[in-house]
Parts: sequence; C-alpha cells; structure tokens
Amino acid sequence: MANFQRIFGEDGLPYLVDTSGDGANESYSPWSTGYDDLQLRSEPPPFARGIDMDFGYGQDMARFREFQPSSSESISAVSDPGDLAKSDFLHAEKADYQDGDFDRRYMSKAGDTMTALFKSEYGYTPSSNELIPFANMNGKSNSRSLQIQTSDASNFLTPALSFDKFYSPQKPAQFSGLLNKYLGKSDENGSLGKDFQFFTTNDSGGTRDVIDQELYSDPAWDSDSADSWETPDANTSLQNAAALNKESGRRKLLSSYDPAELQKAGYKRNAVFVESPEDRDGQVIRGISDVHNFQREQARARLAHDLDASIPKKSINDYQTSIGLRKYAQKMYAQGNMQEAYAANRRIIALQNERTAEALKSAFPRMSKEDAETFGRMIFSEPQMVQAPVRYGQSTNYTDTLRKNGGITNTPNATGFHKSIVPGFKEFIGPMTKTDFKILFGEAKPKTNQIIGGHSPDVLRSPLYTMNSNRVINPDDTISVDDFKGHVVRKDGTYALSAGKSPNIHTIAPPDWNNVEVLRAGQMTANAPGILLRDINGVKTTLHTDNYRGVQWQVIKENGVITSSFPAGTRPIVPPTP
Amino acid sequence: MDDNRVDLFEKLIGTETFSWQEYSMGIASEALTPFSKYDWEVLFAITLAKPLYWQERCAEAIGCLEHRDGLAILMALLLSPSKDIAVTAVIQLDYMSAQLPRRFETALENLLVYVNENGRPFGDEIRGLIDRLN
Repeated sequence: MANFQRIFGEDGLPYLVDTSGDGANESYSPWSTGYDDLQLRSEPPPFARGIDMDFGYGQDMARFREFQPSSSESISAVSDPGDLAKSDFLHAEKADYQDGDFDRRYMSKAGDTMTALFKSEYGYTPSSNELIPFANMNGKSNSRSLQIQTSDASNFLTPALSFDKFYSPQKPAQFSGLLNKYLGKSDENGSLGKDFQFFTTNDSGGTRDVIDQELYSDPAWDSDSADSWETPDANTSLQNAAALNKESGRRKLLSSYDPAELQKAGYKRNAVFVESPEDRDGQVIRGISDVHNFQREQARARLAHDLDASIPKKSINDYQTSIGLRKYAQKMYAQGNMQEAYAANRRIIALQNERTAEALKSAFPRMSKEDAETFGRMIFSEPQMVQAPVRYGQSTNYTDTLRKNGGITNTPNATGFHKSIVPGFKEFIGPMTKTDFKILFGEAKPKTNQIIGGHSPDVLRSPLYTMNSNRVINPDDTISVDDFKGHVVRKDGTYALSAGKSPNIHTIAPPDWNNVEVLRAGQMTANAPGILLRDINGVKTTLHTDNYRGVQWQVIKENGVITSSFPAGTRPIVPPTP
Repeated sequence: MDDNRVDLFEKLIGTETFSWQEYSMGIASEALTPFSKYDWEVLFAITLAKPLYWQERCAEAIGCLEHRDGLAILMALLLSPSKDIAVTAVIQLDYMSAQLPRRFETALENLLVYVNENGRPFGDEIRGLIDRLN
C-alpha cells in the first residue's frame, strides 16, 4: 500500500511522494489538472503564507507539465526511502531525524537554527514536516547533512530563498537563464544557473536540473520543436539528460546550434559545445543567431500569434496555449528584438486581462462588464489586494473569490513580493506587469501618442528608440537625453514611434544596470516614507525618494500602488509647497 | 468655481526653482482632469498673467493628457511674444491634432522661420498645423 507524503519542491509545486517503496511517486497540481476541476485541493506551499494574490493563470499547471517528474526519479525528502518506516512515515521520530533535530543549537555555530532560519524566512515556526521540505529545498537530503553542513548557517540557505541574495549572479532564476540574459547582463557568458537545483539533490534529479535549465536557457529548444509550442515532455528530458551526461565530462554549456545541422553532422540535436562544432566536412556549424534561423523564429512567432488568437479562451487550459508566446517574448528580449517581444507581451497581457475579467464576472454576477474589465486590469497590473466594492454584495476580496472561481492559480510568498510577476525572481514566468513594462520600456500615456516611462538602459541600445545623440552623463551615472521617442501603441491603434517627450529631457538608469536593478530600485524606494502630492477623489498620490546604489530614485504611488518609478537625474520632483 | 482645483494646479506647477519633468508634469496634468468650464476660464485668465516658465509648464500640462478644454489657452500662448512659449504651445497643439483657424497662419509661418533659423526640430509639427488650418 502506498503511503503518500506531500512535499513542496522549490518550484512551489507540491509533490506526492510514496515512501512505501512501491514506486507510486507522482506529482500533482493542487489547483487543477483540467478544465472541470478547479477546486483547491491542498494548502498553498509553506512559503506562500501571507497570501495576497497572483495572476499566473494556469501557470502552475504549465510548470507542472513542463517539469513532470518520472517515477524513476526520486524527489523524496530523504535520500533513502528506507530511512522512513514504511507504515508510519509521518512520524519523523522513526526516521533518522526527530522533532527538534533541526533546532539543536550545535547545528549552527552562528546561533541560527534551522527553525530560526525557517521562521525568519517565512514568519512562523515550522513543524518538522515543514522543516523536511525546507531542508530539501536547500539541497539537504537528511538531518545528518544538516548537522554537517550547518556549521556555517550563512551558507545554508540558497539565495533563492533570500531576497537580498537573490540577485547575486551565482544563483539565477529557475528556468530563466534566458530571461536573465535580458534582465541581467551578468549572464552574458552563460555562467548563471549551472548549479541551480530545481529538484531534490540526487543523482537523477541533478541531471534533470541541468536538462531543465538547458531547455529553458537554450533558444535551440524551440527550434528543436519546430512544429509545436508545447512544453517538453519527460521523455525528451530524459533523452537529453542521457546526452548531457555523456557529454558533460568534456563539454561545457556554451551556445546552441541548429538541431538539424547538428544531427546531420552526427551530433545530438541538442548537444552543446565549448568550441564551435564542425560538420562531417570539417566546416564550422553556424550558431542559431544566424539570420535564417532568426527569421524562422519570427515566422513561427507569427504562427503562434495567429494560433493563439484563434483559440477561444474558455478555460484555464486554453490559456496555457499562450505559454509559447511567453517563451517567444523572452527569447525576443534576449535577442534584442523588442518589437516582437512587445507584440507577444501585449497579446499575453490582453489574454490575462480577458481571463481576469471573465473570472470577476463569474464571481460577481451583478458586476458590469466595464467594472470587471477595469478591476481585472487593476488586479493584473498591480500586485495589490483589490477589495471588491460593497455594491456587489460581497465583502470578501477579489483574491479569495477569484481563487474559488479558478481565476487564480498561484500565490505570492511571505516576503510581500509577488515574485511570479516580478522579473528577476525565480518564480517569474512572465509577462511582467504593465507598470514594470512601462518603467522599463515605456508606454503611451492614455489616449495620447506621447511616451512615458522607458528608463531601462536597454533603450540606449535598442533600435526601437530614438533620441538626440547628445547624451549627458549625470554625476550619478544616469543618462539624460532629449528628443526621446519610442515605439508605443498610438491613439489610432498602430504600433509606431511615439511623439517626442515634453519636457524634452528623459532620464535613463545607469548603463551598467540591468533591468532587475531598475525595477528593484523602484521597489526599494517605494518603501521610503512618502510625501503627499495630492488627494483627489479619495486617491492619494505620494512621492517617495531614496537612493539606490548611489542613484537618487523616485517613485510615485497612488493609494499605495506604484504607478511610476524613475531615476531623478538632476531634476528630482520637489513636492509643492503647502 | 472650485478654488481648490485651480489652487492645486498652481501648486503643482511650482516655482521656477522647482524641477519640472515628465512625472511632475503628469501629476499637474491629471489635476486638470476634474476642471469645470469655469475653472478653465479662470486658468485662462491667470495664465496670461503668469511668468514665462509658468506659461510653458501650463501648456505642457495641458498637452500632457491632451485636455481639449485647454485649447483656448494653447492658442493664446501660440501668439506669445516668447518664441519658446509659442513653440511649446505648437507641440501641444500638434499632440492634439488641433485644427486652428486660418488667422493663425501668419503666426505659424513666422514660427516656422524661427525654428528653421535656430535649428530647432519642430518644423514638422508647425507644418502639420499649417496643413490643418481651416
């Protein structure tokens, strides 16, 4: 008889682990495995306490599918299932470790116990059953390894669990190696993510980590599945794992090539190389950045657009069809083709808004379509709890109601940040919020052709932006330019160059910053005390000013929600005199 | 008239030493949204009595969110003896795809000469306004 224990992987998904040794391990999504099964079937992951809301519709499922573990791969919390008594696995006392093991003072010379670390991370005292997966998430398979390795507690937590360390280049996002290439320049050499552990550390799992990373950081993956935008299946992963295992001793992940060419030359389709590979005739095989491949990607993206647009969005599953768009958007960012990335992102946002509005309308039948759309946009665009208006007869918040109606399938964690929508976090799977998008790349002011936002240093290099060539480097390394224009959706619905800015000076973050830093500067500044700029119709607009990495940064919030975030340059906003 | 609305807008325009950039302009522009017709008339009156920096910021705030109720103010500023103010007004009017009366033709042509002589990149905007004269 199988004994199932629920363990949360670092991806935030729960997994059922059969500790009876019957080989019945499986994973499952607590929220849904299909359109007609939207009931919440488990508590959110332990690190999801302090729930507000999230907007990753269907993404749990998508991720579940993408990382479907096979039965041959152990994702158990313990390295040896024999450590646990078959008939009584819930009692950790019968295993190697016991309640309190993780709390022993000798485990940390620094005075930090596992429980304290857990508590500091999640804000509550964990049970032993929570400590096990917590240890697991940190790559520790049992209490003995804890005892050995926790002498320096600072090395115990992975940066993925530490907000401050998250941005350190050693531990990047889970499958956002590609994302980091456009969010974090430090990944240019592809060095990020090699040691990131997605599943529990064990032999097969470790291999799988590499594969998952490779699949998501390697643009060739999509080329390899030229006829489909579906996610990779486990068999493919295993094949790739075998290939990589074979190659890993002498090859290092570096770049990707046309799979067809590789195959023709006698290599595996997804092989990676330290040096440029040669074909059977001794000719160097060209990389995927070659023009013909890029054009093929564009054509495929258009196909995906059309396909996605043609599918009626009646269920969460339907929305997963847009996963391909997400990947494509990320890829286009990485390749610097922001126009294509924009297009994909806007389509995704439209889908999300549409889905949220549907869920709202379902939850609040009396809500007008206009209100549903309005609040849907609010919910999607801003990571804040949005209260349902009393006039709709419910005092609950949208978050709970939407979850019950299948509109929300993911939750933020206890840090207060909704990591799944904040680029740079491992949970981020895109698209970024409308506000983040505006901050980084700019958008048209409502009903105008004028651009606002666009403070990412990427605008200095992208062909989609124009500005006067006379650039002023401010003392804090921010760049001031004039006659700044960028591609926006204009009043007539076309996607074209905006009108010039007025006033005619635009400030851009320091060129050596990446987009994560730009967004984080705003997040940190938003925590600074605010000054009331105005209070109109119950909307309080506050100005927040702080220094981030030596750059004076300002944030404007409306009722606590960030609406603008920008480097002050030489012209910070000064609050009006009373 | 709601004194508070006009007063608030004046405060958001700030003094000359205060910074004026896209976001402060945006905040000031949003303060114009609830303006009544009478508020706009008051603003028209006080703008013409304000210093140049104030007029320029006012024009930009009107054009920022394209408040069409502020067209009269922009048209008045287009005739300002300060060419910089007039150019700012032209930019805002161009944002709003305004169709000006034919009587502005001379002023616009003079302005076109000015920007061409001074190498300012707003010739297209002025020509667009001239083309749309009715």
